Amino acid sequence: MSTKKVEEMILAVCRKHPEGVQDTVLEQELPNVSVNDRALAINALLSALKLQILVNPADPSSHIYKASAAADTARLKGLTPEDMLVYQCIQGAGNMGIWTRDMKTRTNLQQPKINKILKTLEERLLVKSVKSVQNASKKVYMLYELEPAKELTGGPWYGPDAFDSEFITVLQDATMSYIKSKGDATLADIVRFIKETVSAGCTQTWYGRHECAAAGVHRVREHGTTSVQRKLVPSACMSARMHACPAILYSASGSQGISKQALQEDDVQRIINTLDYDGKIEGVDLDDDGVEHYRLALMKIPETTAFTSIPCGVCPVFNECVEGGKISPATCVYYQEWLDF
Amino acid sequence: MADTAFGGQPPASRGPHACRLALKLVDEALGPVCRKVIGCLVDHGMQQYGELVRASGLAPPQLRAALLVLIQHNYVNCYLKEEPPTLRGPGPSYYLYEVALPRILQSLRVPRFLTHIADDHGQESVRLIHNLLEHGRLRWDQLLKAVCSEAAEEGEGEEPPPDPEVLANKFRSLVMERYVERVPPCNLPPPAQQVHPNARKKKAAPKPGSEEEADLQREQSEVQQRQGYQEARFQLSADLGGDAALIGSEAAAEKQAGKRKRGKDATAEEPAKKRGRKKAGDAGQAAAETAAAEAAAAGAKSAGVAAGQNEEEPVLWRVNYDEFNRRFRNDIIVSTVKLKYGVDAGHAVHGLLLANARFEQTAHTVETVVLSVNDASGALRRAEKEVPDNIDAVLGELSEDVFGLLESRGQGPGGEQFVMNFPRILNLARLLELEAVVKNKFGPHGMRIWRLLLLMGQLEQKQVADLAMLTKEEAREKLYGMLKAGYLALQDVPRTADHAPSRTFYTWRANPGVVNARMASDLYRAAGNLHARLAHEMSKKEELVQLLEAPSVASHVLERREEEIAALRAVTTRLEASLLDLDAQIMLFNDV
Ligand code: SF4
Repeated sequence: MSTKKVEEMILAVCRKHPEGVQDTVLEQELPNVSVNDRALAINALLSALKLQILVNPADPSSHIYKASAAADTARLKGLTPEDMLVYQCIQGAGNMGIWTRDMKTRTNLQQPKINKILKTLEERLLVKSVKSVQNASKKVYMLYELEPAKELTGGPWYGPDAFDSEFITVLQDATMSYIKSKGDATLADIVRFIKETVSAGCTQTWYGRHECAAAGVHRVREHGTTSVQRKLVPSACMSARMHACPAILYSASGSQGISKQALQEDDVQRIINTLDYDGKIEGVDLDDDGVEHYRLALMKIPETTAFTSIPCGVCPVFNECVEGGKISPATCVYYQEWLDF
Repeated sequence: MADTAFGGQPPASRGPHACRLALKLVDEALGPVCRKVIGCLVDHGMQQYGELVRASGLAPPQLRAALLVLIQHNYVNCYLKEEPPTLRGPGPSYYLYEVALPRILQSLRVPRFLTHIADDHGQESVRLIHNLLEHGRLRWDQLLKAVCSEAAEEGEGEEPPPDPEVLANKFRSLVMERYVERVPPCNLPPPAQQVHPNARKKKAAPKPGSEEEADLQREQSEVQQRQGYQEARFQLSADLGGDAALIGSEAAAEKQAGKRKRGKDATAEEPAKKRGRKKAGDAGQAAAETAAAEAAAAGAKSAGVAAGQNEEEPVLWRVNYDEFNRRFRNDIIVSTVKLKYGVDAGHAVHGLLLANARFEQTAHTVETVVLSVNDASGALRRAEKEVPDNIDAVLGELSEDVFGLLESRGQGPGGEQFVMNFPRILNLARLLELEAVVKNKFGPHGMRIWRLLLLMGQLEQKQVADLAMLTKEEAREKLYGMLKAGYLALQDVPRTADHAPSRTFYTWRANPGVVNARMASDLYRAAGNLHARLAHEMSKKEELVQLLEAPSVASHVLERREEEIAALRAVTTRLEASLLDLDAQIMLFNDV
């Protein structure tokens, strides 16, 4: 039997089992093919990148074969077996990514060699490096087309390089304005409000200027090429205490956004919780049905107190201040300023 | 709050910052010699005269004069200590002097007292209270003279002098409303030592004729003496027409209060009295009779003296600061309830507080007596305040709220009955103030973290950053800032016995009790600083101050320095106004 024919038969079996086949399965399915022919055909397929060899997830001591997609074959063309080894190692790590140190132990390749391969793979847009929010100096690699896991990116709250406090502030403002307008709202209401505003058509513009009926014109900020048009630059409308447009926020982090991390119910709950901790809203079980309703807090925290409206109340050296000492009420510069009419 | 030390610490009103402020206030009001005496009493606690001579280093005549001035202004309490008799005869007795820190510190509140009286009782009452505050303690005839001469000086013949009968009536109502009290007699025994409930030992009933029994009887007689003063405290003297009818009304109120359930704090002596009775009962009829007879004799003697029933002794009067505090406390309670539950709830609670007024003698009460809906509405009607239409429903709802401000005690003749818990609502008022302080000091994110820890209990730094949705760096900065200022606590939970930091959890927590105590002490410290700055500003312009105080200065001299005078006035007004505002906060955290 010619090698070409055997190759085709093997590929057919592999396509029948997209999850991968073990050598024993190939042996059973192709009883007329000798061991030698099978080995030759598999080697030829592997070097032509039509077949992938992977560790069997069910039994790590054995391995399985998987047929490569036609597109993959084209993309991976020209990669050396070592490049493929590293590629497969990265592929196996999924969207959690893999650290170079771990690649070294898994592939048994030297670090400089791995670095060189990674450079090649990155140039060919096959893999990408992602920084973990847990450890900013630790880069992990994953396939280019994958969206990093929430654990790595920190969820929707992280921008490309840092925690996105501004995004949270805008979301808080949007939630507050909704609760204010409704009187009271449940978590489901707030999530629905955000989703409905998205479908109302604030999703189209990602770069440059964004038109929003509620808030006028905002500019959408762009961070690099990959992940960010997550929000408007809200400073102008926020400083004017205008309605923050949640549509942009949600769509930016929703399915159409490049970050592709939709705000889940628990994300919205976290935003609501921060408003509760800020003393701006309070949760009450109005209907005794166990569903919490959020409304503006009845007891407003006072803006100032007698203690903090004098310099000592907010003094950074309050504990060090003693009469007759270096820092003392008589020589105090804060009082000097405060009493300078 | 004031008397509840936290974590073994003395309360802030007896702490170093409060003492520093008290010394400043005494120095300002009565001069350096009195300050020295108060300093000695603060440093050494209760002292005899001889000890005071040695500790102060003052010449005896000077010390005697200073002590008299201090006692006159009620800044020093005086007690008669009688030692137990020995085999050779009766035991020695001597006077003990104790600094009255609360009265010194609360002298800051005097302008508020006067405003309150002016609002509720008119100008004659203001004159009476003002003169009484100026002189510390006075007999009625002395007070009348002082008020009349003050009015004559001010009016200079333009206004008619105040009618003594009107003044007497005003004074009577001030006494009956407890704004003015009899000065405690100087021969009262020193206050009983407060023993922590955990440290109290159960003692067996003393054997008849034993030393223990004598001690117990002495204790009981001391309790009776103090009780005697409490009963006579607001009774009118004979020169004010204090007859049986007037005293009777007071007694009737007391009697009624006795019928109802008393507030938990209703004078510390009460439990001791009950204990005494019980033990006396256990010890047998004979012992009980002896003890009762002796105690009754001693009690009757002291009560008689205190009440001035023989009226040979003149009765001295002084302003009762605690009554003002009690009323200010009620204002805080009503406004906090209005904020939390709405205006109707505020009115209803105000009704309960008014109805409870005659059953409480101090601002430190823990709860009201059992009060019905009718009591509340009746009290509101009598005070000519608005009575909510659905007062019973409002109170019913309040009692069902999880916050636990009101506790329902079933139905009574006047409708549903309630008991109100004061510390709960006062702690809420304090919490609001604390939140504002934390927000002003550490920013809105600092307050978010603080409230988060208050709600969630103990959290690690990373959890704090996650839940507060802040960067790790910001969370760390805020946490350590609050730790340094004493608003948060950090606890280490080692995983191994070696306490290695790498194997230790560090958890953060916000304890409202600790923070309240911290705040209470910081307020005194800030008030001390304000006072010091005020003194500094005045001393900077000493010559100008003297010029302004001089009786006759040519107008052109003042005109020439008009700008300087205006600047000094602006500075002192701001400092004094801030001190007054701060005192209102001090009251909330320390005196109720
Ligand atoms: S007197 Fe001045 S330095 Fe001292 S605590 Fe007050 S503000 Fe700070």
